[in-house]
Amino acid sequence: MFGYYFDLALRSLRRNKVLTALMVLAIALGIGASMTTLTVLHVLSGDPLPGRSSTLYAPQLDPRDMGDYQPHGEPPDQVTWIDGMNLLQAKRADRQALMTGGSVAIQPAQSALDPFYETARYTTADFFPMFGVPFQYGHAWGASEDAASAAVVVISSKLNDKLFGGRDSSGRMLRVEGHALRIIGVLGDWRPNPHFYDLNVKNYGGSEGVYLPLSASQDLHLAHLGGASCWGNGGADATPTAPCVWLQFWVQLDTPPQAAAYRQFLIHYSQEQKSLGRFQRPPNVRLRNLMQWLDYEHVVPGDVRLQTWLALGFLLVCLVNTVGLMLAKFLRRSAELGVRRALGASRRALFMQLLVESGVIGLAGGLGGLLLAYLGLWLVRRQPADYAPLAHLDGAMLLMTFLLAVGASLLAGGLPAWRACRIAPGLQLKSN
Amino acid sequence: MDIRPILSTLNRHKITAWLLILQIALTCAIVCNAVFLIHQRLQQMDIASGIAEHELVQIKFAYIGDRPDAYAQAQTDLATLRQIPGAQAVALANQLPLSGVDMSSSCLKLHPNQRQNTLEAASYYGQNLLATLGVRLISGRDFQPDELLDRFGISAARIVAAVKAIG
Repeated sequence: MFGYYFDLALRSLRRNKVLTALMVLAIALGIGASMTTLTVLHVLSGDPLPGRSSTLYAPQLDPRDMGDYQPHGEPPDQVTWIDGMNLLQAKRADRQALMTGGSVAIQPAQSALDPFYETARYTTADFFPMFGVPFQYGHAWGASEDAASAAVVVISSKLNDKLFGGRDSSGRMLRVEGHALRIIGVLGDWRPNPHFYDLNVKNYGGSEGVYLPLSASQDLHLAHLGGASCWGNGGADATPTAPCVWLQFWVQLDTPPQAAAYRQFLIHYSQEQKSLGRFQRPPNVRLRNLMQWLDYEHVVPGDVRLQTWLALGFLLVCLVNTVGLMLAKFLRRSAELGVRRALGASRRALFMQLLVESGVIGLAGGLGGLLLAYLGLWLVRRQPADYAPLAHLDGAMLLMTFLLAVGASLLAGGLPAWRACRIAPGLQLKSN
Repeated sequence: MDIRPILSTLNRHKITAWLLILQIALTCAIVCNAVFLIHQRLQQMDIASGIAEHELVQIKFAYIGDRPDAYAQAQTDLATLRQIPGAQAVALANQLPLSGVDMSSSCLKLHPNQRQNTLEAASYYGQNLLATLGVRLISGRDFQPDELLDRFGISAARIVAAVKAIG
């Protein structure tokens, strides 16, 4: 039966090509615009570490002085060196890493390559197992290298391609800011987006080229890159003794009770620091998991949400337009439908036939919309935004395009089909 | 012109009339919103920064490794830039206005006992900066050369030079 309806639909659509083309175009435009913005929203609000994100938390403490104090204010986004080290050494979580961003000059051994700056991550060892970072060659460093401030470095696969032509470079030396560091590992393809663990650098596309132990970065006086927020009389930014927050601290807590216990630990820690005189404010802690953290930091640009709503509104306009066109088309065929009714087709059967016809229009519109979405995403990628290069259609969004298109066209076809089925067959036959 | 026949036609095709009304209303709402948003953006772009935007060239230097003579080297670089024909003023600065995420700012208070900050203001450090940026002083005066404190840690740091050229 479905095949027959499909055949009828194709014949009917072929009969009035202009009207069909207009309907398909209306749906295609609406779907194209909506899918472009929905894809951007989908990419930007995605989970950077699927499967792991629910166990990763960003603890926040409030070490500031009473200047600018407001009750119920949010604690800073980052931690001080002293608190970071204390929490790290307390080892109350399954895994924990203290880190910050940097920028280092790389001096390639090959004379063909000029020295260049590369973004760096200075971190403690748990960074790699905690975030599930894949390795192409070699391995990460461990707690002993952290303790010894070992001059070791892990590089990204992109940097490895640039410096060593993609060959296994573990064991070789890399000159960083005039210091010789031994490469112990090369990362696989690892580009978490958003750049969740440090949103001060870049929200999207901020993956680093070199990773080295935080202790070594301090010993070698490597430059800090990222946010530093100071209070009181300040001091030199981003140094261990300064009253500044400039490091990110992440913990892995596998179960909700563990997270609750860690929260209690943070409160106890704040109370202890207050009684020691280091903290002045009452305990003010937060323990957000990764997705809550991204939400709190408003990582997805407000513009993108707004554009999505505008595009969906545009889709609605296109649908209303399609409803009008379908109404004209279906009602014009009253005579044909009357004959079918007289020959014994039920209203239900007619309704189904007309819905199949709208579904076919939706499918064609979806195909057109897909092409327009590809065009739209190509235009988005040409924008000078951090997230622009990420705007690509994936399998889920491809499926979504067709579901949305067919769903929308069935919705648009419902009212005209219902109207067309209600005609009295006798009247139609007589008038012919 | 009599409007009644028009209304009665519309009345006879109620669904079509409502569809048209709905479509026009929705389109209007979306277009108005979009125009308003674009207008807002354009307004932001037109905010006067007070600096001679069209006459300024920003140059970033990158020294690799430690340079003990970084300050002297920076002075030589600035002197070289000054000699370029058409360059009106040259200054070394920690940052330039509207230059993106790399911002340095300070909280300001007007009284010593004030709890809440009055505002957070971007901070710019550099010699001959006002003249180079083309900023107009409303009152008071610019720094005297002997009032400048040299706290340059230029070693391995990137610095920004602004060159004001004849526009």
